[in-house]
Amino acid sequence: MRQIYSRDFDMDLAGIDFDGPAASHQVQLRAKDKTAVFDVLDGETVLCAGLRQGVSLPYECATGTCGSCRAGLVEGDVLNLWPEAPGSTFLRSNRAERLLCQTAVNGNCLFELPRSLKKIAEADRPSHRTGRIAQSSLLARDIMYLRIQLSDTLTFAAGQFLLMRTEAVKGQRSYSLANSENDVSELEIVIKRKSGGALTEWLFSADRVGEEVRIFGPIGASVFDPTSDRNLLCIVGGSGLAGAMAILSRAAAMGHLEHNSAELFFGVRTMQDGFFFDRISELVRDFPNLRATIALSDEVPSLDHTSRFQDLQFRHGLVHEVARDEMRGRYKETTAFLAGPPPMVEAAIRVLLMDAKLPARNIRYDKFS
Amino acid sequence: MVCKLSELSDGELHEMAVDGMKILLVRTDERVFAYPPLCPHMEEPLVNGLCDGETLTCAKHLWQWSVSTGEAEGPAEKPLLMYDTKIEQEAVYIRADTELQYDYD
Repeated sequence: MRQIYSRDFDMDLAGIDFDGPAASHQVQLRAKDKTAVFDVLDGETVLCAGLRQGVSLPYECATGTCGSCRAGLVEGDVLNLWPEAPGSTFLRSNRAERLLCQTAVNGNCLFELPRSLKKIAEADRPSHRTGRIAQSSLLARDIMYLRIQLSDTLTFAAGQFLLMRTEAVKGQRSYSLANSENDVSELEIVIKRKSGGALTEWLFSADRVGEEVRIFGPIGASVFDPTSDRNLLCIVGGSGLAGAMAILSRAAAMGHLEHNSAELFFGVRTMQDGFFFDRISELVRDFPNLRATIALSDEVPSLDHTSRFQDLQFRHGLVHEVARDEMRGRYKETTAFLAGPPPMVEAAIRVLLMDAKLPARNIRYDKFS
Repeated sequence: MVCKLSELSDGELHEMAVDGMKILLVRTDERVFAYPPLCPHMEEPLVNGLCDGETLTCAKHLWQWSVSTGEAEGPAEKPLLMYDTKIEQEAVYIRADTELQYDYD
């Protein structure tokens, strides 16, 4: 067995906390065009194991909700990490399907996936890492900002996210990265408090600075592509702002906004729920081609707000409606990035497809649930 | 007959049960098009999708098809299967002798 461990594997092992030498099992995944073989560590999900070893398993949320990572179990002993996962409703029992993002293995296994697989380039493969919470602060009443110091550097595309967990609580969640440079050793994460979410409750209930966290990433395909994207439109709600900030900061830093425009629509309920206004203002001041509009759904913007943040526009309404009204006729060569609660993202998709007639290929989105 | 033409609002997605099969219907003016109810990609119910009378879009991953031909557009990798339909004196008929199903590979 040892010989087939790649160098990646040894690196990953350093980032995973398993007692003693981690046992591993071999998974065979029979795809349409070939059979992929990879190792799964004890306690690791099949999805993470495959992705870090370069197997392009399908996924979107990677946290049990979307159902995209399902595959048929042909043989082997597996462990369902979250039997009540919402994504289980997509599973077809006649094919013994499992969500690979919620499946660990107790021995060698064979899965079947009726898809073609590609090899993920080495540089793009996610991996396990350890980090330490270096700073945590409340940005708004239920929004937390975390700065995480990594054990080594990480490179990710603007708009990607990662999975985070701690030894203290069960389960992991996905979080968008708000910063965006290459080879970062610190990650900026924005977290929305979610009632009943074990990890968020752990984070919100006490000061966790200095605590160790486990990270898997980067993952996610809803990313800024500087080679083909022109004008950028971000429509985001709540903690979905994180990914938009990564995209706009990356675009600004690489000179993309010299010749292309960018529009940010950030939806929150009230001014009290808003955050990063200073950061957005600074970007707007430095990059005249960027415009930012704050949509307040439950409050009419007051003179006080507009005078405090003169670089931002304030509107009253749902963010997708505000964007629709402000963007009319201005969708030329536009790529749209959407992030936020599913109803917001779905409403924005409707606006972009039906009103704006934006091609579906130019719409990228993450739904948080 | 599955329904009257007037029961189908123009350009909207309707799901109906016909002989125990679910069928998705779209009316554009005086024509009606009928498809299996699920997306050929990941079996998302297409009735949750979007339609502007010309293009049908699945809400899950924004696969798109021509309403009148079922041909794939945009990111879609497979066409939609279609049932034959006929309208006679405001009554909509569908030829659905056998249930059309996608090969989900």
